[in-house]
Amino acid sequence: MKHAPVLVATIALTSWLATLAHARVTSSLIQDSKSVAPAATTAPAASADSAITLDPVHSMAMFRIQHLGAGYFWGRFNEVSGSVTWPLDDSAAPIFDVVVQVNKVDTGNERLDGNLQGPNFFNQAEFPTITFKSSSAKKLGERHYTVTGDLTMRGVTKSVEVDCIVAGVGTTPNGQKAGFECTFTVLRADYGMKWGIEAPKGALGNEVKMIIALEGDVAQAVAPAK
Amino acid sequence: MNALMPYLLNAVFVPALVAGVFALIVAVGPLRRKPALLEAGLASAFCLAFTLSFAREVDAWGLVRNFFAIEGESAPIERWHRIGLAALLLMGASALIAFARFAAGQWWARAITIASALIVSIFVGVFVVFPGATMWTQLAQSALVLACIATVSTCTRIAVLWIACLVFACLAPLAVLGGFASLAVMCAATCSGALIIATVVSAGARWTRDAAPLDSVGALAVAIGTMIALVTSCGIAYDTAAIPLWAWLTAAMIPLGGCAFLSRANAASTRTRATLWVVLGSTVLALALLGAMLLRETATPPAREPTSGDPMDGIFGRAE
Repeated sequence: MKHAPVLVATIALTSWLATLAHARVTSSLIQDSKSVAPAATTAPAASADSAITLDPVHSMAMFRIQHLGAGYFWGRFNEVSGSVTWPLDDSAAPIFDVVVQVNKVDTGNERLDGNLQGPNFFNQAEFPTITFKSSSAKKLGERHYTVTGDLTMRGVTKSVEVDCIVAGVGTTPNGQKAGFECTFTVLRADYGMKWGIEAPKGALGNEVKMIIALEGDVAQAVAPAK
Repeated sequence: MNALMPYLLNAVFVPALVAGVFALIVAVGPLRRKPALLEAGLASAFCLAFTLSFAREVDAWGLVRNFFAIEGESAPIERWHRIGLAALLLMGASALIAFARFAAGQWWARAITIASALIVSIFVGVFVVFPGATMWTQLAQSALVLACIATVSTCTRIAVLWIACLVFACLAPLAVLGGFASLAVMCAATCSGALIIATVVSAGARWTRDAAPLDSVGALAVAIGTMIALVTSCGIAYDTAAIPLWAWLTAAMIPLGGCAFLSRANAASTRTRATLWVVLGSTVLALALLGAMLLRETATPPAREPTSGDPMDGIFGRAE
């Protein structure tokens, strides 16, 4: 047992070193977590517009049209991309720049999808995208706007008014996400899509209701809107 | 659906009937004795059926919208509208070809036919440009026009109209499968038009003394061959269902089916029997094509949307 004091001293030293090391590691971890936190949870400064890149998986455009004067038929476009510029504190209206890929139309029926992509309807071969660019907006309430912009479909551009709500802002491991829902109605004949309105008469309605559900990744804070 | 009958009447049967009445003027009665007028009238009547159906399906302005902006009209300029305009121009061109052929004499008639086929094919290659066109597709389109005119020229006399009817009867379902209902309607109108014209011409030959024989090698071959090539190219360009190329080309080459029974047609004792043999060959080819497409449609399982392999995609969306 003559080595007992040495053993005790060694254990004490090891324990002290271990404690010191633990303290440093913990401190480092705390520092690390502090450096991650702003990217994950801190919102951009008030009044700074956030550039939101639309997430094609969680963004979609749905349309509704009356079939044979009877039921309402729904279809959707599965690929919606583009961007939204909007301050997360809702100090200004969102600015939309949205692109819908016509070849991603989905009605649950392949033959019908083909018809919709054909020249009688969206004419995907000549006009592969539908675009919307907002130009102005009017605030109706908290996170609720009427956005005016240019809708280009089949090569025809017309101004439309879109009812837009900010659905919410969420946090994920990948960063923040913001969601919007925009609703508007167009007359498809205005865009040269006349098949089924007069000939065959009443096969499909003229009025098309569109619901655009957008979700995007809040990428960065940009300069405040002037 | 109650609305379907008036629609089909307007877009299919009325254009076909008008073409039939147009053909009736030259195919029955004293005008039937003038071969140049007969050829010009029938070729123009054939193109008229397509043009009227186009005007009914799109609208009359669709014919000129390629060149003029129409006030208050928001319909876009679409490239396929040129087939309507091409059919309208072909009406005049085929009449011109027919009169030139008969005015020039027998030797020059052949040269005029070949030259006009070349000019029309170049015109189609330059004027009718569908989406995704390249220099090679335009060359192929011109070559298809020449090939179709050549194959149509193999049909003898009245058989050319019966076979044109068969070709458009096959192109119509292909257009439907390809997601182009309007093209199918125009094909149906042209098919019906060819049927009515053929019936009128057959009747006219019986009822008119000294009726001029119908020459299939000339304006009629140029008009029918060009229309077949135009509709085939258009169908391929706008096809949204990936219909195999062989199906479109087989439909365009149906007139070649008549060659299978050419020896029997040549050996036939009467013109009617010879025509029957030629039409039978094309009918067999048309039925084989429709059967193959039916089998393909029933054998193809419905495709499903591909799903992402990343489970995070479904929860958090795109991970950068």
